[in-house]
Formats: sequence, structure tokens, C-alpha cells
Amino acid sequence: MVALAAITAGCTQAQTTQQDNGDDTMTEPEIVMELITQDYEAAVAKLGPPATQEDFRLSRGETEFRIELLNYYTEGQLRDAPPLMREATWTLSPDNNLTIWFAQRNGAWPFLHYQSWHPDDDF
Amino acid sequence: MGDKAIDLVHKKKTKRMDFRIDGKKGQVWVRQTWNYVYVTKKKASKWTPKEKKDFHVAIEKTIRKAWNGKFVLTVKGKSEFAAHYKGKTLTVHFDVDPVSSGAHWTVTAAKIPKGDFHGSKVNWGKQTIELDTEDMNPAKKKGAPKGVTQDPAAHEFGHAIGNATGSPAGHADEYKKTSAYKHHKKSIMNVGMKVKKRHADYLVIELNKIIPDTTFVVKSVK
Repeated sequence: MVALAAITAGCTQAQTTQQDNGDDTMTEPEIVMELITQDYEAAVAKLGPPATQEDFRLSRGETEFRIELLNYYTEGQLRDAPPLMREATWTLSPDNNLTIWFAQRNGAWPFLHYQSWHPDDDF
Repeated sequence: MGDKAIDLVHKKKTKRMDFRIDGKKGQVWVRQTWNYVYVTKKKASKWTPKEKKDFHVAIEKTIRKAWNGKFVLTVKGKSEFAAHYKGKTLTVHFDVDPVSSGAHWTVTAAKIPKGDFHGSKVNWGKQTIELDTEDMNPAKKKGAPKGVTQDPAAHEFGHAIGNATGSPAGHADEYKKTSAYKHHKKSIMNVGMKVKKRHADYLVIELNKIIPDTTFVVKSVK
């Protein structure tokens, strides 16, 4: 419930975009460095609502796009208590998407991992 | 009419691969040249020259096991070549050669610790491929039927022969919710290893530009 409230709050208040914040000159590495210690709400506040978003339980056998998430968990963790992930993707430019994964912990969604990719990349 | 009267060998170079139709042997060869860029991830040790060589050998072995000789082509049309091949078939074979310049593809090879995970991908427009040292190992993917695994390198190569976003074939990853083939779980462009006729769509488009009045059709997949 707390997480759901956080999502709702994030989506309704996230009308500010990167440009509105005066951050449009930041490079993607700079954006990631700023967000790496933060959470989903901070990302939405900075970048605006994501273009796509999906919550899912992480398990073995993920597609190549998500496969690096498996580096953060043991087989036992994935089997016994599959972690809940939030995958959010922002279009930073026509040639650059940024996907950030957040792992639910104590009702919050801290940053876990990211991937920068071209819209025509096939995984 | 003997073979000498008919030109049975035809070649064509394209941006992403070269084609050689060898009508004498009943084979079509698709050759790609790759320029490797080697990187290491996390605590992986530096690449040795032997590891670089072994990596390519292993990747090509994985590719050939999955794709070589699978597509069986028939030939239609009004050309002498088509007449010669009436009632006969050709098979499609693949060759990947490492080169230091002028390559079709730039391939980033990531050395990762054994058992780690690294995302592999292909970009058709940019002619880039990313692979890693775990990509030759069969992996069970989410949604795969019981007993079905996939060799990641073979799947990625499928993108590099035209099953890619931006390719004229018009289809790429089949595991996506938006794919018309999302239910074909055993397909190599989904989460399995089974090659389908449609996976030669781009190859056939290019082959059909090589010999006038000659059309290649995928009859079956072995």
C-alpha cells in the first residue's frame, strides 16, 4: 500500500521534467550518478513520468534485457523469495533510452541497476 | 545443357554480410566479417590472445550448430539457373571471420566472471553486436517449455542475419508481448532453439536480388 501510494504520488506530481529542472544539459552518466543512491520517486521527480513502467518478480531465465539483474541475487533468494522489481524507462533522446530498475525494499523502491540503450537494440 | 554453359556461382556483397550462391555444390554461403573489441567486466582477468581466439571459435561453433544447413531453398523463375535447379534444392551455410578492419559488424566481446550475467544485444542500424563469455552456454529462459534451453550467441546471431529491428524482414525478438510469434516459445528468436522459415526472410530478400529472373523460396527447415 505504501508503495502504491508512492507510485501515485510520483505520477501525479511528476509534471516537472528534466528540462524544467534546468538539468537538460546533464549527460546520462551524470544523471545516473545522481540517481544511483536514490529511489524511484527521486527519478520521477528528476526525469518526469517514465515512458513505460512494469513491476515484476525477478526469476532465473530472464531475457537478455534484464539478465544483469541476476548478478544481485543468489539462486536461493530468487527461488525462495523472488524480489519485486520496478522497471522504468525514460526516452532521453531519439537515440537513447534509459531503463532503471528499482528493487522494492521496506515499502520503498531504491535504485538497483540501469541500462542505457538505443531504441533499435535487439536483446 | 552442361554446367559449363550456365553460370552457377554468383556473389553479392552487402553492408552486413556477403552472399555466395554455389550452384555447383547446392549451397548458399552467408559470410560475415567481425571486428572484435575486447572488454572485461567486474573481476574478470584480462583477455589473453588464446582466450580471444578460443572465444571466436566457440561463438562460431555455437552459431553453426544452430543455423548451418537448416534452411532448404528451392528456386523458381525463368533464368537458366532456375531451370537448372528445377526439382533440386540448396542449403544455407554461415561463416563468420574475424578481421581487423573493414568489418561488417563491430563486436564487443565482454569477458565476465564465470556464472555472472551480462546483457547481449545487436543493433542492425549501427552494425554492432555485444556478446559475452557466457553466451555459448545453454540457458533456460523465462517462459520456455520444459526441457527447452537457448544458446544466447545463436539467438543474437539470428538478429545479425536480419531478424532485427530496422531490417526489411520486419520481425525481431519474438518473446516480446508485441510479437506476432510470442506463442512460438521453441523458436530461436523467442526462448528456444528451433529455426523457422521466417528467420530466412532477410536472406531471401537479398538472394532474390542477385540473379535476374530467379526467386529463392524456403521450402523447409531441417
